[in-house]
Amino acid sequence: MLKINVFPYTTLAVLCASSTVMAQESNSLDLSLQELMNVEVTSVSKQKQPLSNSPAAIYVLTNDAIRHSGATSIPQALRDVPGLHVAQIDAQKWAVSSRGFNGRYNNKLLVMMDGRTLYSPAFSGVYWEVQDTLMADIERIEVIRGPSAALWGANAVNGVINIITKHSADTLGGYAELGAGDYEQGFIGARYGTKLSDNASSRMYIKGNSRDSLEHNAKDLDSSLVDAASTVDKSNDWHHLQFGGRVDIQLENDTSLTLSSDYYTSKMNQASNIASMDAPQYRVFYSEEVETEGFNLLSRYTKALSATSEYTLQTYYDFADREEELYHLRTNTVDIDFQHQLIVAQDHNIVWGLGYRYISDDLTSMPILTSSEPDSTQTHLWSTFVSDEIALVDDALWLTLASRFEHNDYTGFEIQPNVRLMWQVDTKNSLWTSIARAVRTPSRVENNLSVNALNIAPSDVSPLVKLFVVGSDDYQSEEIVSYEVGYRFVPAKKWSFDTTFFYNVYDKLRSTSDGTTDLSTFPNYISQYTVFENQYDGYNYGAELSSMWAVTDLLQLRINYSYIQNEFGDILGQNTQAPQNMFSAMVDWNMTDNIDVNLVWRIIDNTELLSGNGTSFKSIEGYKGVDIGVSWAVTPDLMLSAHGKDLFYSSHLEYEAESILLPYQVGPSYFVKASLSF
Amino acid sequence: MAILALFSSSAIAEDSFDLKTAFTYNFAKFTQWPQTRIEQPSAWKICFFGNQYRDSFIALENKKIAKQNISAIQLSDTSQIDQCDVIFIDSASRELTRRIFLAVDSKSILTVSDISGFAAQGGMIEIVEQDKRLFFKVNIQALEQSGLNISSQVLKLALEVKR
Repeated sequence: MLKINVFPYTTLAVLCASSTVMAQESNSLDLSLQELMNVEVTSVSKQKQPLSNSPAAIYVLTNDAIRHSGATSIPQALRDVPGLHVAQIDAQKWAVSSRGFNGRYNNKLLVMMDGRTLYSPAFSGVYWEVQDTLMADIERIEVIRGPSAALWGANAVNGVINIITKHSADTLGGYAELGAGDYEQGFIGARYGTKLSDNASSRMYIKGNSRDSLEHNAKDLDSSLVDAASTVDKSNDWHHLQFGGRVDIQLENDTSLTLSSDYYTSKMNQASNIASMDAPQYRVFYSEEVETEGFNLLSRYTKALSATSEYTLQTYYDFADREEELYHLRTNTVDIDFQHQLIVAQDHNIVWGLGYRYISDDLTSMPILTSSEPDSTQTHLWSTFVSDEIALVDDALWLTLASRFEHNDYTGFEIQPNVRLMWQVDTKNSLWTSIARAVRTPSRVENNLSVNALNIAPSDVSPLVKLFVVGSDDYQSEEIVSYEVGYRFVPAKKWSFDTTFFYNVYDKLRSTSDGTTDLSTFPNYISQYTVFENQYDGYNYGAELSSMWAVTDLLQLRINYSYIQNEFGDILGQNTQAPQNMFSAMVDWNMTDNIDVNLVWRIIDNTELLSGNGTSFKSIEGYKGVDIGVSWAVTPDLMLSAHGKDLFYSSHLEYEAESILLPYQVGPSYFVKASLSF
Repeated sequence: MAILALFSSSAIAEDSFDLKTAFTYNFAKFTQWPQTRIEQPSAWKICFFGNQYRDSFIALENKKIAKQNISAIQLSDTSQIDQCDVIFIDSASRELTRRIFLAVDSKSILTVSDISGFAAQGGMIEIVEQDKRLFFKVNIQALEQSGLNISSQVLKLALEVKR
């Protein structure tokens, strides 16, 4: 084949940087290659918060945004995501949720890291304190509000948080960070990434941190319990060590393999209270050191079959061990996931998949828990899903039909369908809408455990009543049907608005009803059993707004706001109602070439949650806070930063975890940090 | 040298999106395209992945290569790669590279990307950032497989050439 150089003369221009080109004024398209190689890349990027074009309420936290925020853990990074309610319980524990139902045991939010689920079905929540990684290695965190169970599976009822770490080819070289402050007593992190060959790269990391206790204020505790709690050690400090690594291999042009593994060990103090036989409170407080460790190993093999077809086979093993006074839980999970993505007839973007998950849990030494099943139970989860995104009008209108079908050991078959429509009106306006059904499958506690939740003091007419909450084989999945409409508006490059309106209808929410009464122990005490049922229903609706204004190239302002209105037939339908209004304003300012300033001002409304005795709501007063972060790039490789968190307002309670834990106050704190790339 | 020094010290700063687009444009200019393509009277189709590059690539439509106009086309999936002369794949689209390599296999489509490891793993030109400057690596093998060649003058500027 005859080839010619289309520009025989311009090769000269490559060599001679023409002095007539005044690059400062000219477009970079007029520069030669050599000139281009001398132009400095600004650290400022046009769109720090790119708007998604997915038909879902999605918000993406970029690596930059996480770094600027100074977040040292994942829940901290999530704090100002629109529509997320992130509340700190104590130095280690967090409650994170979208659109209500928050809790330490929030079972309606699915959290994943690199394809591995972090949601613990035995515990029916996410142990945020052990779900960690080196923050600098996180590429992005995608937060999807609303149900997306069709793609992600059960428990993606109110949202999905998807943490994605960087490819190891993007983390070559060394990185080290070191920091300390009053509450963050000290943290270290280090990573080394290396190229194993042209086609393979790897990294290893280690991270450790120590956090001081948050303060307990007796006024936050139910007055009847203050005396009993007065002498207990209220330490809730947290010490965490984690290390891991990842290898990415390009086996062929069209085939790649990723292997990753992490190990963590954590020690923390906590104070809890449980039902007791002792007068006068019939509740006893105790403090303990909790030890927990975990390990995971993941392999992901991806092969492209053609330009428009690719499959992924992912397998992982996850082990978690947590030893508390109340229980010792060990979980082994094996998950196999196959996914195939293909484009059919130009207009159909199809993804389908098959999954199997095996969970073996071992629950032992439980003073207030008893199980009708053996200590160790095994569950199997089978699932398949298909999603077809159809381009109805090229580049303008897309319809997505999707559904997941799964089989779990507690409730059998579950179908979770979803229809989405996306309309790109023009370059400035887009609209989307979605109708989805999702379910929250039962956890072990609702199926076969019995909890001695409360002891009711004896009276003239009754001896002590031991109240047990008992799981039931008949317990069903909780259901949601969610209707969403979203509108994105980009009137000019400097402005963007992303809004979502939702209306969620919940059914078969967890309730309890009186069961049998055991009088055999009369007159010492009697046992009253209450059984989990699915009697509650209700709905909520609301709106979420995320807006951005690039005031200049160097100054960016973002405002996030969410509103929710809850209408539940019975007050107990959800254990925590999201704050009705949540607001945050963020300023990101490249003050000079080397100095970045990050400001956040947040206002969180009252949080209504189930109080200690389990029959009424308690209102946690709303709070405000300011975060300030200043980063100084001393050299391109050395960064010094100082961060103040929750400044200018007094200490406050953010959340009170499900009755057995003590409430703690979050107050102003600061830390300084140095990070070095080499 | 004096000019180079001037450029360095005056530290012209440009947005990386515009810069990478300008690199891509230059690579297209200095590629030796098959005669059959040169003789085709159609516009050069420069395709790109990544919404953030939209404005930068659209600006290319004011430019020409060998007297032919340029048409900038934003892609969102791999089904329409066949029509492109050049494809720029942004670093956020790493997951698409396996399919893209299959799509361009033996076709005269120039692939440019800022994905780290791109040239070593089968891509043609990889843009890399070092000390706030952009450089590039070239994979001659991949170019030749597709019947393309790049000017030796460009190769001299390359940080690394894989043969």
